[in-house]
This record gives sequence, structure tokens and C-alpha cells, in this order.
Amino acid sequence: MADCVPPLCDQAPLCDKAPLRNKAPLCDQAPLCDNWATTCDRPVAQQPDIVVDGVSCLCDKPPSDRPPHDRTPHDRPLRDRTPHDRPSRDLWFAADFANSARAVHHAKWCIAAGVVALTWNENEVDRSASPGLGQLATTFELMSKPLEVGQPFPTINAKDMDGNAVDLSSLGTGSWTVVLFYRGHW
Amino acid sequence: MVDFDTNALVLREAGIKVVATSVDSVEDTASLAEGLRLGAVQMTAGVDVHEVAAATGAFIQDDTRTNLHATGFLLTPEGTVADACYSTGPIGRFTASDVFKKVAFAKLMIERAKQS
Repeated sequence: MADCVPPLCDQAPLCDKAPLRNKAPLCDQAPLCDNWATTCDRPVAQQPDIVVDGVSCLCDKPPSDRPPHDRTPHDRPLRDRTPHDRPSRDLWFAADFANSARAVHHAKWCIAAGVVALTWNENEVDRSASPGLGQLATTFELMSKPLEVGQPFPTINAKDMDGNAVDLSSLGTGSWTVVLFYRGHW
Repeated sequence: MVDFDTNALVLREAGIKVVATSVDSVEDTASLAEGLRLGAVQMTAGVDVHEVAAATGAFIQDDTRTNLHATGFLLTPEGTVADACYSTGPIGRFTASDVFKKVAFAKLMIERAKQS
């Protein structure tokens, strides 16, 4: 059975106006991915109801048959993911399940563009708009869990005071380091 | 940041480096550092709110402006997280004193482990 690897919409324009507060493609400017699920062996419209439990998928692979890195978005740290394994299938299918919600329509574009993590804001989208939306929200929340003690600090791009690109995770290598994110706009 | 800069000597003696960053531009960050007379904290700039939130779980403030809420990490020399402080507003920040005590304690534990 074919893998349900979502097509990537690398050319989709990015903007800050999507309802989920990430740099999502502006929906009406994203001409791609109308057939975003056609890489599966059946078109989405013909799929049976999808069990959105974070593990079910359009291709009907039970969790046990799937490699561990496919089971949840958090099985691998963000830094180890590639455009082809993010967002996870789980996110993809959750979005499909909640397809009726307008917000998820936007979210789907985010996903199609390979945006890894979406920040859920309850005020921006009505969770009751779709029975699957709550699950989708849960999935998104999972994508931005706090770092845990012992976890490698991820790659984060910034600029030094000369405007050169720096990776915050590399600035303190070899010494105890405090990394402070402050609010800015002071 | 000012707290860390004020205690720079103690932190330096303990081998603790301090890096600060925000969504601000390089120019705004340089202006802020100058205004606060920061000398010891390594300032960086221009992080992407959503990249940081996705990678670290930091909270986002999003109304008229999109900011990261203050979030702090203490990293070991190996680059792993030793401690973290996620704020959702104006309350809750790392302090230099807390960090110093945490690192001193960690070093003590490492020394004890070596001796035993």
C-alpha cells in the first residue's frame, strides 16, 4: 500500500495572516496542493471516516506496522526531521478529518507548506466547528512541547550584532550557558 | 538581562555564559544594549517567533505585536537543557543568583560522582 506522504508546497507564499498564528501560506494565494492527498492510493473523498487518535492513517496502516518515527510528531526532535517527514502523517490526517472547519482549511495549507509547528489559539478558531478540530488542536499543541531536562537544545537561528547568522545552540558549546529569550519591542 | 550583566563577574568566574535574544532587529537590539549598558551579556537578534515556539515550546504573545514571552534556558556544556523557565507574562524569569546556585550545585554533584 502506498505511503501517505503529503506533497510539499514549497512554493506556497508565506504570510502572517493565517488563523493559527504561524507563518502559514495565505489560503487564497496558495494555488498548490489541491490534490494534497492524492499520493495515497485512494483520494481523500473516498476514504472512510478516519479515526483521529494520532496513529490512524489514510492508508490504514495500524500503528504497530509503522516505523517508530512515524507514530507521533514527537518521536524525533525537530532538528532531526526532514521536509519529508514533517509534519507527521498524524497531523496530516487529523487535518483531513477536521476538513470541514475553515480554520483547518488554513491549517492544511500550513501543513502542506511543511510548516512544522502551529501554535493553537482557542480564540482564533472555534473548536466546535468540527468534531475533529479539538484533536487537531491537541496535535498542534503536541508539536510545541516544552523542552525537557537533558534534551539537546535545538538549532535556533539568530543574528549577531554584526548581522551574521548564528545558531544559538552553538554559542555556548563547552560552557554552562544561559539562553534568554526576552520579549523585545522595548 | 541587567541582572545577569550586573552579576557578570560572578557568572564568569563560575564559567557561565549568557546569551540573550529576541525578535528585535540587530539595530534595535544594539540600541537596547547600549541603553541598558550591557557589557557582558552576548546579545543576538532577529529570531523568528514561530521557529522558537516550535522548537522550544516558548509561549507567544500575539495582539498588536507578536512577541515571544520571556523564556530562559540553562544549558550544560554539552548543550543539553539543565533547566528552563517558561513565562506567560511579566512574572517569572531566571535570575543570576538562581542560575549560579544551580550550576554550583550541579558541579558539586559531578565532583561527588567522580569521587565515589
